[in-house]
Amino acid sequence: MDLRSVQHVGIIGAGVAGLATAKTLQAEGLDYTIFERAERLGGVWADGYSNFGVQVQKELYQFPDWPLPEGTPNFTPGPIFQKYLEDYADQFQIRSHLRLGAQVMALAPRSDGTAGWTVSIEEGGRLHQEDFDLVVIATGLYSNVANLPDIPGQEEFEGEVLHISQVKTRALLERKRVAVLGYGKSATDAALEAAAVANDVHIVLREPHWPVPRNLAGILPFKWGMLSRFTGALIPPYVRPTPVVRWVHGLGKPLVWTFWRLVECLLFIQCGLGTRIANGKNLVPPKPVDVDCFGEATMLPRPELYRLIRQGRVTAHRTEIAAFTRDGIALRDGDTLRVNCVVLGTGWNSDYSFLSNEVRETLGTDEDGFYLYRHMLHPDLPNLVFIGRTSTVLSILTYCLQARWLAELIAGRFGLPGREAMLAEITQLKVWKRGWMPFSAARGARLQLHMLYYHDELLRDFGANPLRKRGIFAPLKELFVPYQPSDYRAIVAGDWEDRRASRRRD
Amino acid sequence: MDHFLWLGSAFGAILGMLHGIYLYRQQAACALASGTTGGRAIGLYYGLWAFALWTLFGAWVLALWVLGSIAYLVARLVPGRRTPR
Repeated sequence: MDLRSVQHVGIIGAGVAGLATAKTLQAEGLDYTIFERAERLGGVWADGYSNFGVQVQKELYQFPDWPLPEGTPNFTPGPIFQKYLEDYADQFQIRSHLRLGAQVMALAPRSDGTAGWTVSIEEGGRLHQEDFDLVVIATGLYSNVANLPDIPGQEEFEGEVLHISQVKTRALLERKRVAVLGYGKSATDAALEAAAVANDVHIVLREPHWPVPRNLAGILPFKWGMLSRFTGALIPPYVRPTPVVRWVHGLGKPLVWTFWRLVECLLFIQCGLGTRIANGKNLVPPKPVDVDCFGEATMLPRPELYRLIRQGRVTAHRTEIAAFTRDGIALRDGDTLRVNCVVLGTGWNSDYSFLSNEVRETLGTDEDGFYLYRHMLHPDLPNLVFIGRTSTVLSILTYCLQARWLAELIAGRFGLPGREAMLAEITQLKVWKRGWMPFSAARGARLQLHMLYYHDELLRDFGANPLRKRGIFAPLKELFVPYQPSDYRAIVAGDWEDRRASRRRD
Repeated sequence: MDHFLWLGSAFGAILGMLHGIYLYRQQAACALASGTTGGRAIGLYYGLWAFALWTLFGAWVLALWVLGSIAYLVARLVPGRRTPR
């Protein structure tokens, strides 16, 4: 796949990934168009649920080369972050390339056989086609297609069933008896919203997960415990581990094991996971923390969650919902809850309905999602790139680095390996993840804390030094100081030292 | 105790030397790939730091490794442990 002759790029999605891609490609002199089906840019930030917001500290979730404004609250509220994205689009003059209310309906290879795609767009009630040399799918991992479990008896339930995306204001839950289904970020947020206004609140969780407190032991911001290379050496080895990591997880395994058991002790005590909940159960997760954090529901819950559970303001049930009844829900542990409002905190699904069956078959139709080379492209789908599909702890940083990687590839500053080599790496990735990572429909896209190694690979691909700490104590900082977006400012902005010259075909 | 400190430091020094060599070669390769100079000097700097830290904390690492090994073995032998990886 040679992208050096790409001139005109189509970007699907105007969320964080789409905007970062647009800005980066614009700086390389490329022409592009962004299609966004919603009436506002921002992706998931354009239309959130009640009191939604960024779940990490503000310095961790911002564009590396465009920091959040001074005075932004920590754990940036959703509407403020949306404004930040709007300002980003204005600052980098992206709006003139942006078409809101334009939904991509289909992609087809160009009929004349040249590299590129013909995109079918529904816009203003009209369907039309446009050609692009390269299409970037930046629709993210989760679209606006709600994940709705099939629970028997819903038709006889006399109360209200809402997906979390429909809970735009806590007034919807006022004075109701609410049951929230799920235990991820959105489900626990829903439970907290309900606890403020509802008469009775239950949260029904199939499996508890290890929470990541905002401050470890109430003192240390979590980034110091999670985002450094020191911790990175202790998580399950990456698909291509360094010799140091191989040694640490080989002969040094007792150290790794002890470290994570100590972390579990800390979380157990700090969050009171031994608190007795319904039917004498507790909230201690069944999986080890170093595996669980790569599952579907990694979260930094709002601090008041466990306090409200201990106080009984929120009643937790560690079971599954069996069926709706006329006036509530029946649980598999035998309990029946009398509720008149059920909130499904069950997340969202990916929506690639605009991809043809042929494209989807090439990508793969496995239950854990599809796997890509560098989590971005498939060798048998030339000139089609996914940016923003990878799930990491600092996703905005990952998307910016992916956009930079793509820009460097288009500029010819590095080349891709051959088809067989890329397919071999995709297979290697599948085997690695399926060997230990908890199953989820998005496992193919999940990296979480392995993002450090992934970012290193991207940087090495285009010849940048992956070690980003500077100063006389740089080696010490590399080991213990957390990596965050600001460390990659120069990379994302395209002005790092020793950048290679472009080899684009004009 | 003194013997253990010396043993741990020696253990750390060996690991530190290996780690240092790895870092030096990594930085040198990175510099070669980008066609720049200075990578070897940076690699040497990182390598020396790795050697120093491992040597300094080698005894601690060894002690934790011994304690961790005992705890790990006990945990493996105790029935009813959690789902293994």
